[in-house]
Amino acid sequence: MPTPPLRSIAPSPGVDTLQALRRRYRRGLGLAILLGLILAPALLIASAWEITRDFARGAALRDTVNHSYEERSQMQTVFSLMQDAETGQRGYILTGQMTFLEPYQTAQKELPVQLAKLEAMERANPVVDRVDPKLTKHLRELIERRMNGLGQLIRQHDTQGAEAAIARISTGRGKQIMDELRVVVAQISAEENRALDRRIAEDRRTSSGTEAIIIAMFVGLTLLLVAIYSLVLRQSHARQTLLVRMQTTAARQSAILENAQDSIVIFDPDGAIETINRAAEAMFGQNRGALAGRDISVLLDLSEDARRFLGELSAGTGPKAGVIREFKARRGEGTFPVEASFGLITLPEGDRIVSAMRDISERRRIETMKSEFVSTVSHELRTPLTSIGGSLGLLLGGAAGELPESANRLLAIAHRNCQRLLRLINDILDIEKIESGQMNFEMASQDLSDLAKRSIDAVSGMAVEAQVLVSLQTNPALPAVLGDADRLIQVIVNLVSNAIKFSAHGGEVEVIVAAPQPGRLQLKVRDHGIGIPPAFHSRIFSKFAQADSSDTRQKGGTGLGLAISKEIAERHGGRLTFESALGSGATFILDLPDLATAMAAPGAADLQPAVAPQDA
Amino acid sequence: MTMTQVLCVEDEPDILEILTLALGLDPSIQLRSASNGADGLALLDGADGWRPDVILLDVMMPDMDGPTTLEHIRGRPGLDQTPVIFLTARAQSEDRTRLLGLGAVGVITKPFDPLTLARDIRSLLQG
Repeated sequence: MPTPPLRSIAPSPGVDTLQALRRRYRRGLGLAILLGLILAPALLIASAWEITRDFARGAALRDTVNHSYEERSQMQTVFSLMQDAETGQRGYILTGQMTFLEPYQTAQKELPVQLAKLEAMERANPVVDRVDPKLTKHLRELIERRMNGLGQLIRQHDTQGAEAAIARISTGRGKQIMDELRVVVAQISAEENRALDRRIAEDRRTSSGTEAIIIAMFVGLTLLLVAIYSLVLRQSHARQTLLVRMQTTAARQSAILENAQDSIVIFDPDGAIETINRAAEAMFGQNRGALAGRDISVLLDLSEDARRFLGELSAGTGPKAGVIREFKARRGEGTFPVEASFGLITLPEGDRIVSAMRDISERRRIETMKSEFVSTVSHELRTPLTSIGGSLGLLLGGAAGELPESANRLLAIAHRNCQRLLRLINDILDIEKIESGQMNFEMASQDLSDLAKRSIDAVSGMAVEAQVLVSLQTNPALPAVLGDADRLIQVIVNLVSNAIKFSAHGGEVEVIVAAPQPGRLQLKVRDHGIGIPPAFHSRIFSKFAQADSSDTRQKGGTGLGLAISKEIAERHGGRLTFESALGSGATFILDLPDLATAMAAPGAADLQPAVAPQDA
Repeated sequence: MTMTQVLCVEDEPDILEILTLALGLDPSIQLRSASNGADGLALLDGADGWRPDVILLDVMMPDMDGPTTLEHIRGRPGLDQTPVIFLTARAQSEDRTRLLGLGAVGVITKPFDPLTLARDIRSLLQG
């Protein structure tokens, strides 16, 4: 039955979602700022400008209206003066009293002034509204003619008497001029009125345009404000959501940090400690308050190499995330080993290094105990094995005299298995050394052909017993290799003895030492046995790997030999590989760098000869 | 026939027995043995002034281990150049190197082949 999903640990909002939210929030905020800070003031300014212009137009219209009234009133003043002059002149002619002449005289003085004023007003009028200049000119002519006529009558009265003057009045010429004058005044007045009406109508048109613009602008402004308000509302909501998500993330991360079993320390590239979790407080025996801002070296005993490593990590030039290294950490006056993994995080305020550390003192102690245990057990087993093997060997060697054939066969079985037990102990000890990283090598210049020869000698007894011929092909001009003679012999013996085991009686095992490419040497061990089943290829170098579980017993192997040999080859900067087709034998290839290549390789310091070459 | 005088110091009685039997196969070897370092030194300090041609010395022994015994041996007159071969169950190369560094001519690891022991000793002596 499938396990139902655990809803409570459903995936949290991922980083992508959070970033998308943050992006949307920023975009919305940008739009609100654009609308609120640029468009709204622009619309307001435009509205104000339009209103100001409308006010100016209103003022201009008022000026025009005033001007028009003033102009007409001036014309009335001129016409009244004209009438006063006529009335005065008539009184004088009828009575002969000089007092009646006063209005005439006043008009005579005032009329040119008032006429000039009227003309000036006409000129000051905006061009479009100006009264036809011909009418004004006609008005002046008529006034001048009338005034001349009035003057002539007064002079006629004074020279020819009242009768003559009255007779002249009776001709009606004066009245005719006055009537014409009235018509002109009415014309000018009408023209002024028409102009004024035109102007007012025009202004009304402009004003209604302005009104429409202003209404449109205010509607626009209102819409804008609504848009801004809704945007701000949405932003505030987005912000709230973002805040909640961030708080959730922070709480989650904080919970992870605080409850992590590993000690987590975050520090900046300069080494200043920023954050440490509870596990770290416990591990280092210090509280976070006392550590904040202090240098990481208060927690870790940093060697030159460790400092360089951290420097490269912060510079981004070194290894990337997930590097695991061992450090010596400080607690109280002492130090303890920690395993630390490091990662670099890039934050807006700068890079940070996150390290997760684990106290490995206990692991170390257990490893040491295991190592000591395996070592002790192996050595303790050797003592009784020495007695058993020695006794059996002596019996088989005839130290106790001639024994029956059946007894000899049984002794041989016991002796063989004693040897096998010893090999197993040796191999277990080797595997333990490999796993605890304590397999040490005494590197020296070695002649691979010589090592091959010594290895073949070591298994010669076995070869004779199995009736297998072991041959060696080599070339005296081959370069030397850098290696531990005992360990290399161990590998070659393992390969050759395996080849013998899997060869038929009368078979042949070829050992070939050659330099197939510059800088490298190869030792091939070829047999013509049953070959290696393909299914076994992938695990042939695994511990306790046997193609067939019965092989261990049949062939007397430990199942550890190839795993050990491969490790030894790799620790020599080489490789151990094989080629095989089922039924046509197998070839194991030990590929090693030659001496010069090994010395030049990076990390060659590990391979430096520990002792002088044995042959020297 | 020149006899080779051998002193063998080994605390494990069974192994000492096997050593005795194994070396007894070679008629040219004359063996004296001791079951601890002090007894071995006592043989060297004997009134007969016996001096062996080679000393087989077990490494791990109670009270006085092989290397300490060797130090005492070297302090005695006429024994500063006597070849010493260590016998040890610790077969690792670093153990071998350490023991050779103490001035031994060779190291024979346990278990050894009793049938070839005498030959192995001679080949170590010829170095």
